[in-house]
Amino acid sequence: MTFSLSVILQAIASGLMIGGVFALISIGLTLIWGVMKIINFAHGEFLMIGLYLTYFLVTQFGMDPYLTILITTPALFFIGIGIFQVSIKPILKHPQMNQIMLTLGISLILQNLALVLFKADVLSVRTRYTGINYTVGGVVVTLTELIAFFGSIIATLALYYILKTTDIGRWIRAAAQNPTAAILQGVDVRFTYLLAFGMGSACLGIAASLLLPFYYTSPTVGLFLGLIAFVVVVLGGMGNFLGAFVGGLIIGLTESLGAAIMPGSLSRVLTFGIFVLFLLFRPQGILSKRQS
Amino acid sequence: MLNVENLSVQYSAFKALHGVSIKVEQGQIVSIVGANGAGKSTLINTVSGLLRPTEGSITFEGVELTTMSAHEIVRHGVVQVPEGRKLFPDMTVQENLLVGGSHKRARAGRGEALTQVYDLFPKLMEREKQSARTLSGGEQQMLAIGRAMMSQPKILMMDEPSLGLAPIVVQSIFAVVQELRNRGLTVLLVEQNIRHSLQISDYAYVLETGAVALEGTGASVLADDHTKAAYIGSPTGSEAH
Ligand SMILES: Nc1ncnc2c1ncn2[C@@H]1O[C@H](COP(=O)(O)OP(=O)(O)OP(=O)(O)O)[C@@H](O)[C@H]1O
Ligand SMILES: [Mg+2]
Repeated sequence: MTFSLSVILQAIASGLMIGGVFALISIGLTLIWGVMKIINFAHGEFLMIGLYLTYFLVTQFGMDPYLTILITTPALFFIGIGIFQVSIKPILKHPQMNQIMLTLGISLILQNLALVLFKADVLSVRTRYTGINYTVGGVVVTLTELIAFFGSIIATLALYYILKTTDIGRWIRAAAQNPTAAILQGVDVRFTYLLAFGMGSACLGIAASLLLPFYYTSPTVGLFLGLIAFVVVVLGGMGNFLGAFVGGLIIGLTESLGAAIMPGSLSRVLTFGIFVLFLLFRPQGILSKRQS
Repeated sequence: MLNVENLSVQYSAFKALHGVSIKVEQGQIVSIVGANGAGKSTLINTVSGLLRPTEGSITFEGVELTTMSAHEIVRHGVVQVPEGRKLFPDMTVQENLLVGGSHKRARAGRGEALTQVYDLFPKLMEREKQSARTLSGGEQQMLAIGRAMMSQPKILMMDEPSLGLAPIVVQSIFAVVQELRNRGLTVLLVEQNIRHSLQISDYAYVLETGAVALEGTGASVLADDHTKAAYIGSPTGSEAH
């Protein structure tokens, strides 16, 4: 087989664009893990909620898809902290297996709820941004992908800024590194967990609004995107913010290149092959020196 | 100021404190001494609200602490420098200090407090942007003390601040403890370095297997035959432990 340079370049461009969104999704997951050591298996389904919400805001209320960020972000924040309060907070000190079962349970409930409410249909939106492309040196980039990419980067930077420079950010990092010591500085660690869970979920609201204009939603959309987020988080090192960002871009590229150069169903092998290899040989992730 | 009365604390089946009563008055340095496993950290952690007593009461300025959550106790001015420092290793020196000063009551005077801490520990200012994990043991202890200072303590409980430090650094830590007292802070000090801590203490309690075996002024406890025999050894010899 031979591949023209333009096919490869096209795959790289598209891969980077979606990779930015993968990064944003994964940062939410890695934040939650990093702070409270909970693997939220319902992360993909939270994103699904965001996608449906965006879908209805656009189709029922005629909202601009990017304006829906103003609604989906707080909505996911509060859905996140609601679910945290009711189900996750009570089992924070329980064995990890129970926590895994619980978040898996939540993900199944949400999936099936979506199936009941919205049927198995695959839904997508047409907006005034649809169909606008830019061609640079033979590579086509759609406007919606470009906005998603830059929107994700901006959201990531904003979150990074919050974590780095605000008291809330320092509480979150302190609670992640030594919860007892954080309490001894007067930090309300439970409240900090709640905030971190909310913020990790809010990332999905932003991601959903950026994603839907060139993606789709369905009851099972969270399965794939959630899985991608796990791969990225493992690749970047569990709890590693920068790692999740770089990992998101890498997996975006891998997915896209895989689809371009490997026949059909084989393309996924590349992504999950990387996942398995990292779990086996570099469980601490690409960036970190220490094993967490 | 701090009043611990008849305190009993239990770890599942093991009773670590049996009816301990201690008192700390404003402006004093009070020492708790005792062998490994005597219950010194247990006592401090119970005052901090990390552990809950099965019996007894702890009041600070007349307010009951045993029903308060641990972070609220800190906000009331009862602050500890924990055993083993417990820094935030991947945060910078400055960030560690800022976390210490981030609760509501401390936030207003945070800039001033930071200047004071850097004044007391110029080394920390030099290392401001370094992550805490890269500091030497002595610097880490200074950071732990500085971080606690940032939360505007009224009483500072220090759990073995000289542990694992070179003799010269130990000297400087003790000097800092005295300096803090001179600035009006009340100190509850737990030390393995018994002779030295008793020398600077106004009052002291000897804890043995979870109960107060002896109490008195620092000098009187230091002069006690039993203390000498059990913890200090011959007057010219080295410290116990
Ligand atoms: N989490 C725990 N679970 C069960 N027992 C504990 C726990 N922590 C401490 N203990 C026991 O309680 C007793 C008192 O411990 P504590 O840490 O208070 O002693 P200490 O006086 O601070 O000792 P050291 O000088 O070694 O720091 C010890 O016998 C210890 O084994
Ligand atoms: Mg101890």
